[in-house]
Amino acid sequence: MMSKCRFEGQIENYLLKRLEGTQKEEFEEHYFNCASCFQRLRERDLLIRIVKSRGPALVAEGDRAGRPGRVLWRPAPRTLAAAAAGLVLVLAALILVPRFRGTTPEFVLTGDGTVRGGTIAVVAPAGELPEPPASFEWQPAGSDLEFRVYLFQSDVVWTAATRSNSIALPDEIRRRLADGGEYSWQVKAFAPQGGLTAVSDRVRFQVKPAR
Amino acid sequence: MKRKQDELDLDEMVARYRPIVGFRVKRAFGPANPDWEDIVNEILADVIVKIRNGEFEGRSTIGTFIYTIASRRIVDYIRLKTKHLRYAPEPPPLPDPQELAELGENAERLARAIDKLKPRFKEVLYLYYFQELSREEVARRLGLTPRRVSERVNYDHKLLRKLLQQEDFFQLSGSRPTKVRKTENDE
Repeated sequence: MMSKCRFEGQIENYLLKRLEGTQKEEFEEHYFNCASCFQRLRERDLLIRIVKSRGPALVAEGDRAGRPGRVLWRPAPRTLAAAAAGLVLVLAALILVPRFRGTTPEFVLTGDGTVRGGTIAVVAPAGELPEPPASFEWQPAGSDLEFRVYLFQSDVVWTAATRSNSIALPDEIRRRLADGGEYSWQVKAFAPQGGLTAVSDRVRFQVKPAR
Repeated sequence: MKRKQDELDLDEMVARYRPIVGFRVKRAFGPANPDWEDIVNEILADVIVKIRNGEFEGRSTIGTFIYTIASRRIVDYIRLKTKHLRYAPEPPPLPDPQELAELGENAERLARAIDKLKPRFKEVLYLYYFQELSREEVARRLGLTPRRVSERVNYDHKLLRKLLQQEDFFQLSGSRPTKVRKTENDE
């Protein structure tokens, strides 16, 4: 049995990006030297990635967290159905659910050589849409930035730049977005000197007209 | 003969540190970056060259030596990428094959194990890892003591670790399955 290492308590802080500067570097150097912590780190990393990919689906509708002191477990007949539904949701989540809480981009160098990055929160579109989106919108991410939007299918379908926090999708591109087609989009922010300063998650949407 | 011995040691070193360097590089670049594997190979090649040139003098551990080389290479790569990223080709569209392959079957097994947890244990995972609340915040939200939250998180870890080790999840040797003590989840 592996003994508990004094750094073990830092594993989650590192994976959840709560460590900064020297603390982060010390922990990284440590796991290069400690097989036990590295093993735990990989295990915990996979666990966190699965939990994040499933999101609220992890806790079923009836037992959503947040009500103090209540026992939320409903046993017996629902268990099997919930487990089966959960499995389906895992697969769906891994493939379909937009990754609003994906990995934080880490591109920008600060003066001390630490690698940091910003995240742009997207507003719309996401999920299933009755018709092709007319525009893309995201939260403002700072002043004097140029935003470049990318629309993907099997490749980049369309890209354009703006200084606003939204951009219209040209009609000719909208007409090309087929019914039932699955697309994703992403926005990146560039500083005036051209350096990348922030990136959004790649967000999926599907054009699914109501029947 | 000495040279042969060095080769064997280096092989062992590469086998041991490849996953560690890979983890560090992917963490810095993001899992969707297709360059990570090339950078890992470059780092390990650089380590071998430096060791053969006598640059590793044993004043630090080999782990620290490799960590330092890896960190410098990562910073160099990102500095270069930041300069040229505007004109760089786009990464492949989602789903990223590397990430899905990595998650793949192992992730499904782990997800099934998570599904088998009782709701109160899943709740803790959701609040702690998805919402990224502290143990104290989770405790307030659920009306528990922080110690009880820690117990639930630790139970989740032990149970899932047991599964991973039983199934040789990461093909790591030398560690035995952790015994999961009976807790409130077994009631």
